[in-house]
Amino acid sequence: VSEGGIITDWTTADYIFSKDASHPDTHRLYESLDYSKDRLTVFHVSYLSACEKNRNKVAVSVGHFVLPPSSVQKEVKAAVGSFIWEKEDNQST
Amino acid sequence: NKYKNFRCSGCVTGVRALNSRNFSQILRSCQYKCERHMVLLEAEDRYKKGIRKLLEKKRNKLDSYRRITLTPVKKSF
Repeated sequence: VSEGGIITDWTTADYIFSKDASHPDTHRLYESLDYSKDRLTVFHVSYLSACEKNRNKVAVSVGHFVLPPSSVQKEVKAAVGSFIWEKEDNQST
Repeated sequence: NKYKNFRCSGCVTGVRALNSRNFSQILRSCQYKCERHMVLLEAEDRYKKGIRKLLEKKRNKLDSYRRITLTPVKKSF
């Protein structure tokens, strides 16, 4: 649900992707009841490109592409280092 | 299944059923989380706690508003 994302289907979609945790659309998800009750996880869009690059889709773990709120990102980065999708971002730019 | 038991649910690959709806719950119920997912879950929990409080406050405000509007107005003599 990053820029230009489909807002209408986020209540029903099985997979929710975004590339920007600070974008208003994404931020709204983090403040939703679903998120606070463990019923929603946002994944980084680079999961899709990682799947594309990797012919063997089975080898890409979606759990490595969790996109948490910005404040959570800071905490995680301070504790265990950067996210896998950050590397993806750097590679593509 | 001994082999499966030693894997972190956040890191397992090729699980088609894993999606945005169940990921948190599956990760939470996993006993063998890797450090990365452990940290992520704990940090998210702190955040979610704050959101739950915020939502509750919002709901209380709505409730009190509703209560006020539903209270029968005392007619003055």
